[in-house]
Amino acid sequence: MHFFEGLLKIKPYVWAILGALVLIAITSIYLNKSNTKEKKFDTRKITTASLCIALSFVLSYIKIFKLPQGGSITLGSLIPLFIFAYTYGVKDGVIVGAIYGILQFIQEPYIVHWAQVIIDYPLAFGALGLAGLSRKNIPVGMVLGGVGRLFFHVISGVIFFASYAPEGQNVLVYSLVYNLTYLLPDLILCIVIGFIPQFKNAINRLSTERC
Amino acid sequence: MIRDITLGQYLPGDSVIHRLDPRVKIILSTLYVVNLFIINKFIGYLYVAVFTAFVIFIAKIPFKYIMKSLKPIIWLLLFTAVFNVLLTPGEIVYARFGPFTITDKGIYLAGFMIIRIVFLIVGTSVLTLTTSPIALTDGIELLLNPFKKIGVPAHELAMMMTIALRFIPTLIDETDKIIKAQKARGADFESGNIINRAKNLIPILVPLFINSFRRADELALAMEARCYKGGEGRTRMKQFNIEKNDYISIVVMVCFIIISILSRR
Repeated sequence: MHFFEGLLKIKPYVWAILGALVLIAITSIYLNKSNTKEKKFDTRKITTASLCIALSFVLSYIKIFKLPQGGSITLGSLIPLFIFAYTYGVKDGVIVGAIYGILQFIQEPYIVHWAQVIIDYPLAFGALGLAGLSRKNIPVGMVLGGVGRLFFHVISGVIFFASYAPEGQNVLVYSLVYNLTYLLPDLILCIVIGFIPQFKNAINRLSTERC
Repeated sequence: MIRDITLGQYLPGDSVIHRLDPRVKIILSTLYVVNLFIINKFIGYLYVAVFTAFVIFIAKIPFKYIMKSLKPIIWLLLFTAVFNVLLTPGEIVYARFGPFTITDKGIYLAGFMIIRIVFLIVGTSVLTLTTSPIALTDGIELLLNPFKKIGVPAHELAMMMTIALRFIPTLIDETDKIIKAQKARGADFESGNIINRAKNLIPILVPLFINSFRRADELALAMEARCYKGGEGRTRMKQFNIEKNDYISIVVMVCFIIISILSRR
């Protein structure tokens, strides 16, 4: 009896998350079936992905600008993930982003809610792989990836507020403002770097060598 | 600049908790987290406190490491507390200033939420403190194996994590070297507006990327020369076995969850 009553009490957002997860699973199966001929991960792709993840990790330690409320601008720590997505496309980019997210969780687990863990780590960082949607222009891709990540962090913020703050607050705005304060500066730096010609040329050379 | 970096939180040791199978530990930690959301009364958290203290004790984790894991969430805790105390409506009102009230229910809720967050962090920290990152990635691979059929590249995921973890220290050294080399040439990373700073970073980033990609190529070549061809048919040097201790810990966890569910009434 208790169990079924509990099921009824599950809040709408939980259903929304579960729905989103199912959707992701279905699309991934679909993507898998549609191009079975293409080899998924060859050795070179695996090692490149690994080195990109490691490089992102290293760059995330180098803080060149500290923000007052605790966030910081890192030395373009997301750029390697963007470049990987730019080189190998959305699907691989998302997978590699998600792995980076899981490693971030292992490095410093920050957990306030079970759904928040899934959204804040694999999904939010996986969304960085959306940068692969724009394979002609790096800065556009960076914006896409950044917006994707912001989207998931905002959702997780809403969950946090919904479960830890009293009702009746404008949670969406709070979450958006809070997340923007630390995501935006880092993303701006990435985009500025993405616009610099020397950098663009180097990246284009690296990625055309590969595909 | 980046010398004082510790990777992960792993605290080497040889306790019963350290020796548990990583798969079992990941599943048990997940259950622990879910269990925290099952509990709806303070008395339930008393059981959690006793259980957690017991696990920390047999894992021989010094208390200061537990405190260290709580440091990043101090602001979050404060925020939760203030928010709940001031904004929860309740029957007994202790104080009132403008739109804010301090009520019995607010204080109760604040306490409840803080305890939950603290245990969430402490519980997951016990996992990362007693399991090396490599063991964690192996555990994740083995847990994801059944999902290979629906297209989860379990082996590739774990392989990438393992290689990434292996190369983080190497790349730290390399970054450090490049930064020093550019500084010696007169590069300035500490002044100017954001655009100037971004421009100044290019001499670090470009060599770093080119080196990393080259390293990736060399590594791929080295792996293939040793006949690496994906997860199919690959065996491990160190096999994971579920042993007596693992079964005991599963039983203890199940008992603990049953007690928590009973405490809801």
